[in-house]
Amino acid sequence: MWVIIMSQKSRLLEFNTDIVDVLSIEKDLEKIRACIQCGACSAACPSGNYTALRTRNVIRKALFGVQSVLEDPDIWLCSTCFNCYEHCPRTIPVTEIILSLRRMAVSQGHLPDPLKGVIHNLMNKGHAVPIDPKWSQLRAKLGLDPMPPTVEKYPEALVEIYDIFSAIKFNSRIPHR
Amino acid sequence: MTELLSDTNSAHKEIKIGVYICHCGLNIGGVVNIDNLIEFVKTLPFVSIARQYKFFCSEVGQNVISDDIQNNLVNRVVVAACSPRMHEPTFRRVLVSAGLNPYYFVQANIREHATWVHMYDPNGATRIAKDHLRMQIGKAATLKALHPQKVKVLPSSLVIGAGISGIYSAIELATQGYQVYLVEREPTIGGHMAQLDKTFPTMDCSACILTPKMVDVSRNPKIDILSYSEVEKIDGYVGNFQVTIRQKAHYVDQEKCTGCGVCAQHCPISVGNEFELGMASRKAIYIPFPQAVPGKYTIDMKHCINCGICARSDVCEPDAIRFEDEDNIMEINVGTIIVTTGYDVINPQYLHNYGYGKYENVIDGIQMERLLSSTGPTLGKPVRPSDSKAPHSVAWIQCVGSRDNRAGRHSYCSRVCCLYAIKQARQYKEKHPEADIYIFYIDIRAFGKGYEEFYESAARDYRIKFIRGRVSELAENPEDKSIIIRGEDTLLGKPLEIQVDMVVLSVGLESRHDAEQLTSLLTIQRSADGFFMEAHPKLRPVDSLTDGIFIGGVAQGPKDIPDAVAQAKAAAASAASLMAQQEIEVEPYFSFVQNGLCSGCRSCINQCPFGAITFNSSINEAEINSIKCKGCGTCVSTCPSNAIIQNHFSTPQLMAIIEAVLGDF
Repeated sequence: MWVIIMSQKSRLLEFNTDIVDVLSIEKDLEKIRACIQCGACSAACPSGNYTALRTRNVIRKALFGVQSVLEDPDIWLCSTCFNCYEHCPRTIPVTEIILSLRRMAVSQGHLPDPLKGVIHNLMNKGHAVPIDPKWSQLRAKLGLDPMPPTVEKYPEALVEIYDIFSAIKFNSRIPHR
Repeated sequence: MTELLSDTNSAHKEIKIGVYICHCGLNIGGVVNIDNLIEFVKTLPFVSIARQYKFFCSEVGQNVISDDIQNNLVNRVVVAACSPRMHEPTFRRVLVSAGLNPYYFVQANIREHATWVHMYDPNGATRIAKDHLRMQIGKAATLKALHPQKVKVLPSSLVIGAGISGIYSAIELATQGYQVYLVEREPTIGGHMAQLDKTFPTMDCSACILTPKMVDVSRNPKIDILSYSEVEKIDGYVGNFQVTIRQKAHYVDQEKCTGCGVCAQHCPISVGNEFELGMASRKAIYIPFPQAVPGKYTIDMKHCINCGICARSDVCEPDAIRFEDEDNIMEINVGTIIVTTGYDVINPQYLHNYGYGKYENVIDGIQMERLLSSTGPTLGKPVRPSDSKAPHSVAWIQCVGSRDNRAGRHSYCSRVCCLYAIKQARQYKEKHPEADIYIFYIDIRAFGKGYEEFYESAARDYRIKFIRGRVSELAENPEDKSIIIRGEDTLLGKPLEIQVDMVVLSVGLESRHDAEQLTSLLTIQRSADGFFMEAHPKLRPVDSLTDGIFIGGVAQGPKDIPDAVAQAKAAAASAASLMAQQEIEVEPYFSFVQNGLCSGCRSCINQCPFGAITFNSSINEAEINSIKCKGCGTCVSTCPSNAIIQNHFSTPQLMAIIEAVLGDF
């Protein structure tokens, strides 16, 4: 449902309920509608102290369906420490909402570049952080197998992991290549 | 008794039920299909007429019913509309004026019970409305004529709690000539208002407007101040309450004590003064504050070491000290009761994120009030606790314990904190114009007369910095014990960190910690916020659900002084209009024991929550006091011999309802 304030040509706010409608499917996340924008979440946010993350602003944008909330990197700056959730006077599950927004962002193809690399590694090597060539060389020098006995060493294990990703539709949802 | 049950009007032998379905504007008419309901009720037994109208509570609507009765078209009336709590008295008056017994009326609540709760399901709502209609029509056929009982109302009132509300209720009633017993559990009257320095928005000195009223109360011959006393037991009913009051021992003869204070000068024991929130000391023999009324001394036996110095004849010349003093139990009879027990200030110690009780320079609003007061521990020169120096920067944090759904806090707005914080900030700025003052708020609620102007001037003339953002946590700078506040300026969208010398927590109001005791003593109710519940939030704001008991001031919910006084006066007016009638009618919904059926097992006596049942040993049967009985029906369901009948809710009537609604099954 779209409500347009003033003309579409202007830079004035347009708001819709698409995002909050999706959030509201979960009963607890529906509490977002009770947000009074007091700022306790931003004030309590350890990440926001050093980054551009304004938790209150994320909630506001989600509530009014401002699309940039899914496109901007802000939601990926959250460390999911749950401090905001703990301080919210309306007991809104703020952290859960941010996680939900991330899932929405990903399903729309908005994934920050650093995360793409991580997922590429997971898919191709079975590890978010694969072994560094430096360590392989060190292992060889010490007379060990350069490759430790992890997924990367066994191609059949990698296939197994790939099957799991397919089963949970991870590879079709995540743009990883 | 049986006479009350029998149908006195022989003309009503043929039952003719008139059903009147009210649209209540769109409340009912906008949801259910009323034509459909009309067709349905016409098929039910004994229904002679079914009509619909936009507002049956209006004069035109009432006349429709009245005309049908007078034209002998109906002799039982069912109105399907709002809650009987709202309009049952209205329609009963219609029956009386048309010459019909008012208890030939029942109301089907198809608004609250059907259309409001199933607003988006018209078919479901219509089905439920039909159920309510056939239940009430089923009952209507079994109705009996009843006659209200009359009871005398004693021209005296008990006012519980002598803060500003209790004082005003007492003065109003005494002025109208009623005897008032003003009970206060502290040694002095005055309540919280005595602790305040100035009052917003007029900046009147609180003591200057309160203490003359305290004196008025003490001089009024119609008012008995029972200070240092607590209500222990309440019996009886509207118009005739028997109240047991415990007057705690003062250990000082209140007649002989002149309040000279020499005893306190000599007393060797110093303890924290509750009135100053522990920021100053008092002696074990004390008056709470110099302007206390009555200005007589009390010994705090918890701390007294029985040294006997105060009792020496060179110390207490009037010889007023009585170490052997005991609590005195007294009984009074009153017609009405007004509850003005006020509030507790939220204790921020349990709200760990603000470090109250841990960081020396975090204080609460009521402590700031004492620090600002010319009679306070610093004689009106506020200092910060860690170094006793005047702070250069002070921040107030709003909504502490209020507007917060988390455990141990309150979701309601306490209504006074915005303005008292602004007031205190302005007062501090008057004393220290160079100081930096911040108020961290979520919303400033300046709703009262002159409040918005007061807020505007604080920002413009007093240069107080208002920052919109809830503070999440405070930290202490270990070097100089100043407080670091981290918050977000939500209007700029930027996080900010401010270091201030002192922080004041604007704590809200909560119901008295022991309010539950009073609810069971008085059999009144509390609402979800813990405060006493009014009978109707708009139309009966000072009545409790128990007849003859009224609620005034903050006991009903957070409010500022003007509202508390207004409500206290309203409670007094309601109590007075009840007492002015000298005799009042009460509902005849009482239960009674059918003679000859009672086996004398007495099981009903313990079950009665109102103590209305006694045992008559001469006939070996239980007896129910029809005035004390509130018609709850517990005894009826308890009685193993089915010997008890409750008027208007008798077993045949309840069975008629059940049969009507289960008819289709």
